[in-house]
Amino acid sequence: MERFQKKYNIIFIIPALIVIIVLLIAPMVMGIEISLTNLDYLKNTDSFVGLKNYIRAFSDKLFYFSVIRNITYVIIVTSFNFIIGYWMAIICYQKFRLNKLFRFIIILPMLLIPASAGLLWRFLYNYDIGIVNKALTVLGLGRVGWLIDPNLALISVIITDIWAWTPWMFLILLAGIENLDKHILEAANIDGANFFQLNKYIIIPVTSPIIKIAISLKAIETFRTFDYVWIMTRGGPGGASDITSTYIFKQATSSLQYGYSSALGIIVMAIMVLLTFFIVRKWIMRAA
Amino acid sequence: MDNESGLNMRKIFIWLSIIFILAWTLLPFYSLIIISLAKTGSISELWPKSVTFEYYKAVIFGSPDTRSIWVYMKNSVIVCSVSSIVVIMLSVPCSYALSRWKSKSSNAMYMSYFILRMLPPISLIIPRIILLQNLHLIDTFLGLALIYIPTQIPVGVWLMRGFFDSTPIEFEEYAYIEGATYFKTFFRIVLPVNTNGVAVTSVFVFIYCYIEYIFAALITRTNAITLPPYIASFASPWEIRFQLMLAAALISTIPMIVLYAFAQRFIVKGITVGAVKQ
Repeated sequence: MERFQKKYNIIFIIPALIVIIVLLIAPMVMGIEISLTNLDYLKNTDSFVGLKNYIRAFSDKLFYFSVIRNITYVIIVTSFNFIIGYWMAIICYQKFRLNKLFRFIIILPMLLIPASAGLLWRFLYNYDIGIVNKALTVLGLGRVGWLIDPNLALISVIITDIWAWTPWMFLILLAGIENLDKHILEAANIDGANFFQLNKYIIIPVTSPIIKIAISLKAIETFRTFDYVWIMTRGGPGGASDITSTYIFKQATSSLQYGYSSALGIIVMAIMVLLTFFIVRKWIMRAA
Repeated sequence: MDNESGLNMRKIFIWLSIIFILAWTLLPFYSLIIISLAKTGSISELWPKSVTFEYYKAVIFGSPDTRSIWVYMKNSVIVCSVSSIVVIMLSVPCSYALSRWKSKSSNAMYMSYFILRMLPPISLIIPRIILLQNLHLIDTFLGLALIYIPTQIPVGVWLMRGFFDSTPIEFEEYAYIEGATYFKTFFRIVLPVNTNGVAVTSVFVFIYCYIEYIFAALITRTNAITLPPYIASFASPWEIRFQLMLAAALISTIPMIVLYAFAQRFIVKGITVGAVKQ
């Protein structure tokens, strides 16, 4: 019966596998192939150049900066997602009237398409009529060129990403906290633990498996981000908010350097595959 | 006495937090609604003195210089539904087999699916553009679906395996002993217990396709434009039509609200399932 089942298991696996190989793995191989050529629709060249594109990538300062920015982006977004999401979850765990409504309101940003959220915030950051600058004027502070100032552009996008994706973190953390054993919390309360001690010594350590999963999934997802930066700043002004995905997108669509942007894409892919592999090994499937 | 002041401190902290969280979440939405209702002259007011529904009318019914949202919503719904149906048909059996077949190779395959799920979409833009150009599939529904299906199959496999893993195997063993075939067991016994899982997985795949922006913007021109590029099209480099754009953004949340309402009990499970293995 073992053998009999194994045959059928394979029949069930094969259709999906074929589609993945034809539509995902084959393009990937093709991407590697293109990355070894100087395919360029402006200069009209297409010949084999070996590893030249990769060598160029490793000395491309702009690409290097975009990777650094990408890492900063992931670290800031993920940590604030966690801090605000945890805070929201702890508050929601308390008993108060209209708690259900409060939870619904927290989830609202998740309902917007990321492209819409980016555009909405682009309006909020508008120099003349945006609500952020108007609030600053009311408070007696000057206007700020949120998306125009090269020093602020990336941070402004990061704030948008935090706003839009904290609900996701909130939902997971709330589920983790609600699954806690009530007796532990009661015992800690009787022993006189205050609110902050309760969080620090009980809730966070006990929910740490789910916290690790939430943070690692969020970090990987954020690494792939594109929509917010592209919609809000196009990586500008002057490349000041370029992250890897927008930099590659520009190399491909405006400069039409297909060979070079393919090589950059493959480098990013290699980084992601390694990163995902180790995160999964270490935090997600360890018990398997 | 000491305990009481501690309780009050805690209450103040909670209420301040609630106010802050509400402001943080709702102020952008407040701005969104106010602007989409404001007449052209009063776009910069914090509280609109004159309210108009002309932008919603323009977005819903179309106007001389605005294309109606329905065509694009229809496009989105067609592409996303077809992709989700195909993804479900392919990934559910695959996921079941991976869940029941305990071996090194099935574990490795499962791991590869997870890594494929997390691939950065940007890495594949070049080969995909070239392939679609060669097949004359730029700006078609089929072209978009051919991108979404392989991207979402790993998501489907990953989500469904969590559900299958938590289905007790005894039913199936009993069915085998009674002489049922593998296929009969799968369709008659395993699938009916996992309808929730299939529903949640379809909702997730649909949402991931619905919000996808890079490829929707990259390979559509006129016929197959979906909602994200349509909404983004109100912001051209030389002018941004904020009111129309925000009205469209608000209307485009309707399918999301319906889907989340439908799947709300399972959202968390959908995010973490398969990840928590004991």
